[in-house]
Amino acid sequence: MLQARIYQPRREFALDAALDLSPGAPLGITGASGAGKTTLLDGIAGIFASQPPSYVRWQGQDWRHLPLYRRPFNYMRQNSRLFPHLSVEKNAAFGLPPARQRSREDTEWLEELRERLELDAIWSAAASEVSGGQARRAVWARTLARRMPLVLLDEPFADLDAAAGLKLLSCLKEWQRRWEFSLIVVDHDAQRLYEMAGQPRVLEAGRWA
Amino acid sequence: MKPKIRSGLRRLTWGAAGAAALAFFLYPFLGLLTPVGRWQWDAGVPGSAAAAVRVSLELTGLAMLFVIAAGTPLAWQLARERGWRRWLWEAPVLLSMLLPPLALGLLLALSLGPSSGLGRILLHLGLETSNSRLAFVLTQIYVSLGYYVIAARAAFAGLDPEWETTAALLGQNRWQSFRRVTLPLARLGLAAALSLAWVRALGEFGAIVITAYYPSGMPVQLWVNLQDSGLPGVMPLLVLFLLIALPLPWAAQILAARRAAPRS
Repeated sequence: MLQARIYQPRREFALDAALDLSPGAPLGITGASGAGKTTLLDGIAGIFASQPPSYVRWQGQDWRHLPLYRRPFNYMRQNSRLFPHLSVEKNAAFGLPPARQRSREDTEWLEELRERLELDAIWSAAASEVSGGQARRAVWARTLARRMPLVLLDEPFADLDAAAGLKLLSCLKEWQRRWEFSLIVVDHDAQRLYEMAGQPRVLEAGRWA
Repeated sequence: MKPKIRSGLRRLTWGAAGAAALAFFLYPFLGLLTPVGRWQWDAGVPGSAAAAVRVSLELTGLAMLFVIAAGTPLAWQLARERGWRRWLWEAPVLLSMLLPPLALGLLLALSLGPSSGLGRILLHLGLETSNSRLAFVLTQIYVSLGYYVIAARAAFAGLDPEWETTAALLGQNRWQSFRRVTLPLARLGLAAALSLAWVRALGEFGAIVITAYYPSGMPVQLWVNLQDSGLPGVMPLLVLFLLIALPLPWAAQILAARRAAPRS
């Protein structure tokens, strides 16, 4: 169970939003540009230290003093880019143990991600050689390769054409049900969020509408 | 004046200025073609030139290992510090670079020599701090570490901090992020930093001639040869010195500068 409240003053308004999310449940968040959606996700993730009375608890554990790398979650940020010095494959497997020490389950999951995200053709290409849409799909693979109980996705369908977006939406729905991770997706498209996670919550100037 | 003629004149002026600058930088190399009589390899003492090359390569290599090991974390830290803390770290590093070599040699001889407290302790432990391999390496480290740190700091500071955040979000601790992301992304800048330090250490004369006249490295041997046999005794070792000191650093600098150029 994720319990969070993020309070963070900004220039125009203060973000103050609380949410509870059950294990394995999806949640969609939408709102106008600049409403504080990304700040909310960054705050939950711990990218910045949000101000009191903020709190983030996962399964009862307080995250405030847990370093970023030990928090059991995956977060695809809006500006997530591939590491330019690595191949697409190395990027996708970045969060996994080295190939020799990888479990069979991890290896099979990585292969599934490669196929479903249509990364076969560029799998061994250098990250700097792939197009924007391909890079985005590779970032999807890198984010989901580590199977974590909580997944945060910020505008995951940006840079993708409509067909690819639809396809990934159905993949995400399937994987979320299979792995039963809690999921928070931020997107401009309320309809897409509705299909993914039911009625989305709307953030307006830092507060729930 | 017609715009076409004006732009032609401007290009001509810039071209001439560029050619003059190029000629200025390359002119000293013409010295290698100057007739000085028959070149002498060992100028009097058999084996001295080969020994000098060996000393320089071995001990500069050793000094560089230390420079990388100590300088890389220091540079990384410096790239992250802000305000007075950064100044506190950076000031002594800059000081080491600004010291005139001869003054530095004298300071090191005084502070590390057998009459100093530390020198006495080290001597007691069997470590000679004057005219020894230890003195040679210590002096080289002192003269080159600052150059490495400042250039490596620039290489680290040029990286988007977002890369380390991304690595942390993928479960990598600070050391893993550094090893898997920061270091490979900064590698060309670090190579350029190392090449600067290499040239600085290998070519050091003013400080080393005071602290470690023996074992003679290439610069000291060149000076000895010049004293003993004049220019003919210098030429072969000079050519070798340039060949050892220049090509790798030159390539590293050019490569690093090309990669650092903004990409479309």
